[in-house]
Amino acid sequence: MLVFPQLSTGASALYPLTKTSRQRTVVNTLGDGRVDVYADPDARSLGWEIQAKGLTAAEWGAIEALFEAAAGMWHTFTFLDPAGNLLAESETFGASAWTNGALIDLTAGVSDPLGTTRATLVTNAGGGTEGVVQTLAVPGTFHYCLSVWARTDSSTSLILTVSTSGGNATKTLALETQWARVSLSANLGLSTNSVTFSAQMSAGGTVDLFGMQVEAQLSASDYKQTGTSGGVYSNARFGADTITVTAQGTDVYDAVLQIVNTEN
Amino acid sequence: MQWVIRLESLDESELTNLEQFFEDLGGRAGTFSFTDPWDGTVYASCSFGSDELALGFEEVARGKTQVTVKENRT
Repeated sequence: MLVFPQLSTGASALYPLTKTSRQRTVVNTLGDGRVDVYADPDARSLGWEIQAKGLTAAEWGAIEALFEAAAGMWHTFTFLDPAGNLLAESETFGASAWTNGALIDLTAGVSDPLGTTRATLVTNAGGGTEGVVQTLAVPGTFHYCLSVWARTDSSTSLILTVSTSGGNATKTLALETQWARVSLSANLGLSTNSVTFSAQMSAGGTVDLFGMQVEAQLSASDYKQTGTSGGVYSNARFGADTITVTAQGTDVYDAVLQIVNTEN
Repeated sequence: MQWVIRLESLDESELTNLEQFFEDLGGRAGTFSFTDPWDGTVYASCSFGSDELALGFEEVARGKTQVTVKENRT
């Protein structure tokens, strides 16, 4: 599994970062001058330009090793969007992206901390600890931050977990009636190809949840709502067959990196 | 009518919401209503002027982008 490396700081990239969304529109001009316009969703692509300044030799070495392993633009690799939420369906816990406990009941349309009604009442009707769960095809060696808004009227605690084969990190949080954004930051340090993120509660617990987010970094940033896909791009490529790196000093390297994703 | 809108000091949520809206519309293929920020007039059918949207992520709440909105005339 080729993966764009994480920096030694635990971040996926350095800012400034430019992310470009490219769409394609088909325009058909009819004989009478009218115009038909169609979207061409299969042609859309995403691109990132990362201004990587101040890389250490180890960080640049990891990027260069990936570039050589991918043979420039040829082979694909997994890229975790440094400006995105890695989870899909970040507010729709009943969507197929989630593999929730069998006895988890979901009631959508609950008032959320942003003043809308996109939160979900999650009830654990089972006899054991269950919750909302999503597994991502991401490396177990990265640092991740799992965050979610939560509140309860029933003194239920929320258990955030980041897990992979052979290890896990867990944090139990006492919730209040007011919304709070809670988080768990962890690096499992295990060479696996998938990591599972969950927000669980004990039997009989009820919690309002909103806006779950996973980022490959140390702490949570602004919340980003996602739809059917999250920020894990398993078929990304380098955008060029050449990377120029400049050594600014001992253990200080600068490079501009182009990453593209053309496969939806 | 056409508006060129330069947006600065955006946080990451705002940038991502704009990106999601742009992608949901399929770039310039989609239509939406747009309120003229000069006089509040609502134009019922508008589209993005380009199929490309570049989002600049910089420091905290220093995101920036630029969009062109065009009124569709029948």
